[in-house]
Amino acid sequence: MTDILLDLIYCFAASLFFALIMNTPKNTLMHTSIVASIGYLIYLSCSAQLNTTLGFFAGTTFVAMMGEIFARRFKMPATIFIFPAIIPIVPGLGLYETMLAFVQNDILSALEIGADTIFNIVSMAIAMALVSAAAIKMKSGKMN
Amino acid sequence: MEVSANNLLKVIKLAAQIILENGGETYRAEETIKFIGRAFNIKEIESIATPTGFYITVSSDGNENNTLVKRIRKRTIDLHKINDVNQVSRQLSEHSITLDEALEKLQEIYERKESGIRYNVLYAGLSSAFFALLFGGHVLEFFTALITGIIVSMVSRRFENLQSYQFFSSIFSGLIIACIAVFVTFFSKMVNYNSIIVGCMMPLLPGLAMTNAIRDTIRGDLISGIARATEALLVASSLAAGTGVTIYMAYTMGLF
Repeated sequence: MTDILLDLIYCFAASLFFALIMNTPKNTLMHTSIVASIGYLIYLSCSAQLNTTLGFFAGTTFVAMMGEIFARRFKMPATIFIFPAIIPIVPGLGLYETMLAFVQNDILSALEIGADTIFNIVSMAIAMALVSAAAIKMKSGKMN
Repeated sequence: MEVSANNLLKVIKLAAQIILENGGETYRAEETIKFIGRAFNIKEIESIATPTGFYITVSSDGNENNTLVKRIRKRTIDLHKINDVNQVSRQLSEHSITLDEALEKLQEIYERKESGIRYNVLYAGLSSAFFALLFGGHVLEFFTALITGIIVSMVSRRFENLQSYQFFSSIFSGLIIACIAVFVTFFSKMVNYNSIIVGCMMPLLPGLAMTNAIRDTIRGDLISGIARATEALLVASSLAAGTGVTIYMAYTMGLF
């Protein structure tokens, strides 16, 4: 339990500072960081209980949905909310482990981890695409 | 409302340029162009935007055409500027500001420098440090990642004016990250280099290019989608190559 709580705090801080690097408007900083940590929590719990790829899908869906909702509320582009919040979920660890296995001349596990990472990225892409397609369908010609 | 096509073209050009240079989606650039044109009762307005440039044709009376081509060479990320341009285009469509005021505002947004580069360097370090903690690091990894993140962000700033900015900056960032991590691990056996490297890599991953690739593709902007996906692939693989080369050398030299 404390582990998860600590992870959430780390995730919150990491995405807060990341949003600051990307010069996110100041009044949205808290929203993005909180969405980032909740999205990360969803990703963690789904991948622990069910399946890693599903975890990526669920986490990304949440982040993208909150991004679209905040975009309507604040009348700002949705990217401002989605991009900093999605960063903790992006499978950087998978990318690194693939590269590490290649370096250690362990081609088989490199291919295995690499294929897994690609699957995870694709599932994130599908989640994001579904949410933004739904958002386009709903808004009928208004710009956001 | 009558406006000169020339002035309108100036405003539209600047708005689209700021959006594309600072990491906005191409459909946002195209829609901004369309919305501003529609607000001033332009008869025909057509635009094609890609991440590397855009073309606009404006015809205010249906007979005379004004066309503009603009190449985008520098691409950075600044979400604040995108938001500000969005606000200006909103105000223009509601006619709460005039075209000249909009041009002034856009000029001001375009020329605005990043506020406080020193702070940005520090934020980059802190972000890397907290990601290192998230990926299983402890106090030592936290401080190593903090310093590494600061160094990487200072070095990658040097590449900003280069043509192939993203390629060079990511490959060098990867090299620096892995060098420092391997070096620190070599001298202090208590440090876990994996969490340092992953923590410092996370803020450099092409998250925006990926997000925009998908959002553009969904809107039917296939060329932009593929361009952004290529950008994301290039950044990710050069980052991995930079770290990979260093770790490979460390292995062959038997450092760990």
